[in-house]
Amino acid sequence: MSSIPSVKGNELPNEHYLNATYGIRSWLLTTDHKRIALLYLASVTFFFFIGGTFATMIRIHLLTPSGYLVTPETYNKLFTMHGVAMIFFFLIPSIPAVLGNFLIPLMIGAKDLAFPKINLLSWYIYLVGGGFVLYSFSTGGLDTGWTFYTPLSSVYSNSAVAPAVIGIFINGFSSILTGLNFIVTIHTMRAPGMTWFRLPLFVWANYATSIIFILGTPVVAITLLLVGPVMSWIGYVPGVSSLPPAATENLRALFAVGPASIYFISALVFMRYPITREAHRAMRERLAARGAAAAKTA
Amino acid sequence: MVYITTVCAFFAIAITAAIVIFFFKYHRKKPGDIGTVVHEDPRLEALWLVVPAVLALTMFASGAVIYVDFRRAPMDTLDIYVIGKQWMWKAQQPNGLKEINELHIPVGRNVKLIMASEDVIHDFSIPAFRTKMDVVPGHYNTLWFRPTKIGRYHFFCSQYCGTNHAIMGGWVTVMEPSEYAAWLSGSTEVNADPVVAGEKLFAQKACSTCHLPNGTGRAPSLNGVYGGKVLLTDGSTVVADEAYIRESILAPSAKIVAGYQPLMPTFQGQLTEELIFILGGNISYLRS
Repeated sequence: MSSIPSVKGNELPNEHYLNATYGIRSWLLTTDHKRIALLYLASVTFFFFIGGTFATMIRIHLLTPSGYLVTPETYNKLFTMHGVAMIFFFLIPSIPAVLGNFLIPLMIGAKDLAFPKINLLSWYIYLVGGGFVLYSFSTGGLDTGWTFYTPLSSVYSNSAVAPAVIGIFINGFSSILTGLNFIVTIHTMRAPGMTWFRLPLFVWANYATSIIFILGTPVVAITLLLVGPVMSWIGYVPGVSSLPPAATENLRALFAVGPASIYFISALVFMRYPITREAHRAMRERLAARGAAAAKTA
Repeated sequence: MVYITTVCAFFAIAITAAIVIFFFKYHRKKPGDIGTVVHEDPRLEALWLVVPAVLALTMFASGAVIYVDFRRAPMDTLDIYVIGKQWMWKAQQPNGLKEINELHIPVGRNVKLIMASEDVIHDFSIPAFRTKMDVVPGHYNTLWFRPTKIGRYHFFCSQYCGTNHAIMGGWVTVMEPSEYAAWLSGSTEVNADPVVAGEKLFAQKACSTCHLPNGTGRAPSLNGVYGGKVLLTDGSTVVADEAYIRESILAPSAKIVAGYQPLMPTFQGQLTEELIFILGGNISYLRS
């Protein structure tokens, strides 16, 4: 029997779906990409409900023109915390870390991601970052807007900005590790015959998203670290070392494009699956078709 | 504007109509029907690449023309200084009259707002005029417009700036020029004259001990400086506008006038934006 050519790093892992156990320990120490995707699904859903609770309180407050539920300070905190929870802890990880984690190895014919332990590490980093942010929410909250414009978020802030910013900064490493893992996996672990032009669009979308993770997340991290309270927390004098406000505004424009395009690209491409299924037609994957045609003639 | 609106309206109607028509024309007639397989058609592809590209670029060009006009104020403007601070708007008319959360302007005249922030980033927005501009600390932004209709219009802060951001706003009153003139003179206080206030401040902050009017002091004379060109030690020249004067007060060593020593101390933290406006206004008065 001719054996399938083996791909580097693609041997069956020690623990897989046939011999895995069910205990809490097996979940918390798993390196299986599908289980990690489900861990992400649970934690992302948790933050979705945290952010959703804040949003619900905003809507209840706005039931009457005068607003009877919260004070202006609390209102500002509600929409800020809604934004922080939703953008950094739901929107950014939702599709790549849940669906990408689950589907990319299946779609390219790999047994797992290239770095299964780093994959689990990225989930724990996400939890640590989330812990800092929840600490900030429960000890004074945030009233700076999710964009953290200086000097409103630095010299003029009187809410718990530093732990939130540190939490988001830590969470950034989770995104970078996931992006790195995806890029290496897609480059090195495609099944024989799965050429670049035959990759499903969803894999392409996650590849693009991973590049944004690696290039865009440091911009977010830098602009956040330049927010005054964090600078003073790590030993600088606030105000002096902060970026000029106009510069933070411009960097923030770049910063906001990252999460938006991460979500947009991956969600848009993922939506093609139910649409093409219901339309009873395959999407014309031009590159894939071209690649197949080229392979035939070659 | 007409061009962009026409293109958008055409495609909005055409696409909506196509959705409705195709919905009926191409729906699945019986279960198991499979759609026609369409093979590549380079002509079709060229059509949907070239036509949107041309439309998008011409729309961008017409938008860019409007944008350049929006950013470049004409020469004959009525200059009003505006300061945003948590959480109110202060305005100062050319004769020194001050208003809070109110702005009176004459109809049919080009108005330029020179805006500074005392604290965080604000944004001066007049929805009825379809215009707005960020007001950024440490930096002057200008916004110009020509009101065409008499009336009172809401203005708002449209950059989230803290607790009372939602109620930071006021009213623009557009008046007949004659009424505006009467309003200006009718309510002027004696000591609100910016020239008098500026002269007082000029002496009080000891500017006058070095900046002698005849140019024999340790610092250059400021008479006639405003609006002209200033030669610097590094050989370059700079136009003495509001931003240059502000910088020279707050960071004097940033640009040194040719032939002088960098002796002047900084006034950073000693003057509010309002006082800098008054001082700068006095220097611009010295053009005569």
